[in-house]
Amino acid sequence: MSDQSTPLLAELDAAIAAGGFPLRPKTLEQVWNLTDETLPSERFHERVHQALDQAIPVGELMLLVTLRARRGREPELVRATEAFVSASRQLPGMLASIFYRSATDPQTLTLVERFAGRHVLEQHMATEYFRRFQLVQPPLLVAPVEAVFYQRTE
Amino acid sequence: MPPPNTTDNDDALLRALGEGEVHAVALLYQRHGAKMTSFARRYVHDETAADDVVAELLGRWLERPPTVRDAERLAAFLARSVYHAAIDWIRRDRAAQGRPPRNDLATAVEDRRLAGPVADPGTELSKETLHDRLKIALDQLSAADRLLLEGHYAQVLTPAESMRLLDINRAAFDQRLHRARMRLARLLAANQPAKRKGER
Repeated sequence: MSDQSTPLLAELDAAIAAGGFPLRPKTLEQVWNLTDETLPSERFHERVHQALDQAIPVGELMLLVTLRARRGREPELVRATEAFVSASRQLPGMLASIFYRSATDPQTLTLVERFAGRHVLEQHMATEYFRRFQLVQPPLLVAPVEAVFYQRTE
Repeated sequence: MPPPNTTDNDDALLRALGEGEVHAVALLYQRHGAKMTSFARRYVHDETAADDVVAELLGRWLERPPTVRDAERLAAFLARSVYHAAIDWIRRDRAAQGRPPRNDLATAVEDRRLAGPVADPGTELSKETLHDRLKIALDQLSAADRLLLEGHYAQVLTPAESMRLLDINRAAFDQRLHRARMRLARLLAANQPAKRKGER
């Protein structure tokens, strides 16, 4: 079954080399799902974090907070987070407050907050809605909250 | 500007990415960075290179938001983006080393002119025309044949993965791949388009 003995296949290979092989998005997604996850290097994390820091306007802060719900407590956590986000948005200088829930990992919520400056973050942390959200969390979470800051460095 | 709405799904994350929101890149990196580098490693076969591919891709998204297709799933979008970024990286790497593209047959069709039954002699076929004809022929094949060919030509799957997905052994894999290639070649040969007015 060698290609030398099958000129038709050699021509096919040449046609594909010239035209490129049309790949279905569905197949790529299948391969994505087959791929086992391994941890990237520290250098990768540093590089991406630095790029993200530099994408934030001077003076602003961006915070990503990951909340992992205890099984069965997701609806309560979602409600508490919604109330927190609504209240946060009333704060002057709060540029964005939004949360995402992954379709593939519905127990994990990520809260995204953007502040006009550190003073806004400090005001935010001193509010009553912030205190209430802290109090409601412990029984709803399966792991401690993880927070990552992004801020431009000059 | 009012803050964006609360959301609870991946579609909104993709939309935010397409709108150039920095937080969308940060969240994708946080949630999917490890999977993205693992996926890139399948094609560039090097841990450092895979990290570079994904770091560059995320950096590009920060500078210029990507085009996100309507109703595209997050996994499909990430797979497509990382795959193309990896292929671009391989091309650039080979060019930097003064080596030809990875497909060994590419040099045989350097002038984009093919001869023989797959491409009619004397017909100059552009890359786009060939690509379109391949698509038409592939659409006439079974899903299994197509999967085997995607693994073989686009190298998106290893033979072991193709065998696992199709639940076949090595001997059956070799035989079915050969048959799939023959079917595609015959379809291409049979589907020679009539020359259009103005075409040489």
